[in-house]
Order: sequence, then C-alpha cells, then structure tokens
Amino acid sequence: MNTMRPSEDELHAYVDQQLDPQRRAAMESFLAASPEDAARVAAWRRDADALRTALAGTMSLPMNPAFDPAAIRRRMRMRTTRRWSMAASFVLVMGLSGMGGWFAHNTVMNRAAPPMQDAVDAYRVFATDSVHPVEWRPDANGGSDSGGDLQTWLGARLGRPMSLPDLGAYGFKLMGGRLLSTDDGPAALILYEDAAGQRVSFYLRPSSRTAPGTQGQRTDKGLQTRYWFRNGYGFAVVGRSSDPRTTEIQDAFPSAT
Amino acid sequence: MQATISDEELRELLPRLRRFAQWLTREPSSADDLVQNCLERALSRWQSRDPQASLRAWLFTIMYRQFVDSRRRSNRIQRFFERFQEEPELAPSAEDAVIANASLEAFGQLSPDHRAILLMVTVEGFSYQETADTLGLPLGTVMSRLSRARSAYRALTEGEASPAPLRRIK
Repeated sequence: MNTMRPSEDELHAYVDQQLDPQRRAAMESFLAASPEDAARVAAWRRDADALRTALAGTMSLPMNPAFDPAAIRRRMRMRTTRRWSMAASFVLVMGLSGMGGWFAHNTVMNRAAPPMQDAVDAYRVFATDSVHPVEWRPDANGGSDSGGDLQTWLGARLGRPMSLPDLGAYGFKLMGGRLLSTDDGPAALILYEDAAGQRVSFYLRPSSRTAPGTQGQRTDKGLQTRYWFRNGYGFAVVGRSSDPRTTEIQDAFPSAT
Repeated sequence: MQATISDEELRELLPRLRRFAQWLTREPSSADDLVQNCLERALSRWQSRDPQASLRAWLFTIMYRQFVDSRRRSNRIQRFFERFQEEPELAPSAEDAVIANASLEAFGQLSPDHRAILLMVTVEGFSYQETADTLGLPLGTVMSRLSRARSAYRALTEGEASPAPLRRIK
C-alpha cells in the first residue's frame, strides 16, 4: 500500500484547486501512478465543468426591478413610514373615541363585515378569556402535548382529518381549541400561548360565499389578521399587531395561491 | 468601513444571489421571496457584517440561513395544509420547461443541501472554509457532504455505471 496515499478530502481539494502548490505536485505524481483514482478525479472535474457551464446559463434571468437595491431601500423606508402613520392614526382614533367617533367607526366596520371577521371576534372573546378559553386541551386525556386527541376530535367534527400546525419555533405552545358555530358551518378555533401568556389563534371554517383565492391582511384595534380562502375553507391567523412574531407566524402559513 | 452597502456592488452580485436562491428553492416565487428578504436583511444589518468576510460570502450566508429557517418553520405547517389540498399543485414551472440540459436535470434532483454545496464550491469557487462558515458547519462535515454530493451527482448522470465510491481513510 502506498503510504503517500492522499485522503479523500485531498482528492476533492485537488479538483477544487484548494491544495497548496506543494501538495498539488505530490498529488499529481500520485495520480500518475494510480489510474483508478485519476479516473475518479477526472470524472469529478468533468462534472464540475459541466455544472459550471450549465449553471452559467441560469444566471441570465430577466431583470426584476423589485430587486434593485434602490427599490428595496425605498420599500423599507415606506414600510417604516406606514408604521408611523398607522401609529398616528391609532392615536387619532383614541382621541376621537371620547366624542363618539370610535362608535361610528365600529358601526361602519360592522356594516362592511370584512372577510373572516368571525375569526377576529372569536379571538377577542376567547383569547382574552383566562378561565375557559378552550374546551379541549391537548393533554385532556393525560396524553402528550402533540395535540393528537384534539386533532381527532376536530377531524371528526369538521369532517376532515387534520393535524395542527406546530408553532414551537416561535415560542408558542398549542393550548387547545374549541368549536364554534357560524353561518357557514362549524368553525374551529385553535389557540396557542407563549410563556408570557400571549396568544395567537388559528381559525378555520367552511366557506362557500367567498371566492377561493381571496386573501388579505388587516390590522384593527391591536389585532393583526391574515386570512385566505382555499378548497372550500376560510382560514385566519390572528395575533397582536404589536408582536413582531405575529407577522412571522402568518408568513409561515401558506396562503392562497 | 463604508457607511452602507454600495448599490453597485449589490447589483453586481444580484445574478449570483438569484441563482443561489433559484437552486435552493427550485420554485420561482419562493426564490424571489428569498432574494428579497436577503437583500432587505443585508441592507438593514449592514453594521453587523464581519469585515473579514467577502460581501458575496456574507450575502450567501444570509440567504442560506433564511432558507434553512423558513424550511424548518414551514415544514410542519405545510404538512397540515396538505390535508386540505384537493389535488397536488404540481404545476410545471417555466423553469422545468427550460431544463433540457441533462446536467441541470441531475442537479435539480439533488437535495437542497447537496445543490448548495456543489454550487458554492464548484461554481462559485468558495474556499472550503468560506463554505463551512456560510453553511454553519464544521469543515469536516463540509468535506463529507461535498463527497456525498459529488457521488450523488455522479450516480444521477451516469446511472449504474458509476464506480463504487472510495472509502474514506480513517
């Protein structure tokens, strides 16, 4: 056995031109005497060349003006401005409320009945309830907190099997759920809670009146709602607008496409 | 150190970033999101950049971390939604139609991790150390992953005809 035999790592480093000149010279004499390794190295090199050539062609995507750094900077500035103006209008609304403005605002909101308003209402009623926010807890039968029982229970009532999204990555644990009745049929409200007691809800119900593909987001009275409609269901994720994780969680849900 | 990233430098690297995103996600709209998020983060986190690392390596690092994070987060949620999917959304992407090239076809069949490492090492010419930093892996793992990626690519382009992989010398 040749004691000078290079390691596999060195063979790769040779292909990738990451050997220092001395080792490279040693490698070349080794390969000259070892046709089997030389063939392997040559094949890797051919693959690398082929990939470089082929992938060079995939760099010529049509120019997308949205990616221009100047456009990105502008968008980031606008978002900051919008956040400020939203804060300003909130202050304005709070000021008006003393004069009945808030009431008028509410009436208008009710008449318009924005999509998935029931999800927002359900959050307001149950997510703030400290005594009995959910009627079913994942550990109700002494099980783990995987939500298995809850899923079976909801699956049976909604007429579809389902497994619940895991929001552990955001610090939210599955708290439980409850069923509500709506004009469109049974709705499921699933609540998640973090260590500080903040709650995020995931809500779904059948939907026949709203066109599939409809989606949107709104912020109202401190709650940020993202909703979408797909396959005969309406979905909503509701959380506090002051918590940056709300947007992150909402982004993690695949919305209507 | 400059006060901010120069737009010129970014524009120059943009095609490479888009290519990386495209091959990480294999999905045009996710790739676009990834590019956008990466640029936003780069522009807002400019101060935290390690001045030793090249701008390109830094941007690739941001992009790769975002890709891994979003994949980790959305996996379980995606699985949930598959239950509500009446039929699989297997719309052929425009990209698939363009791929007539056998090299690209094989490349597309690799796992995202293998695509990332081959693209970085063989196409972008990152050093092993830069690759390790970008992927957040020890050097040894980079080497073994590179070796596996090369074998996988070999197997896809040559089918059964590829020679048995050489054992690593311990």
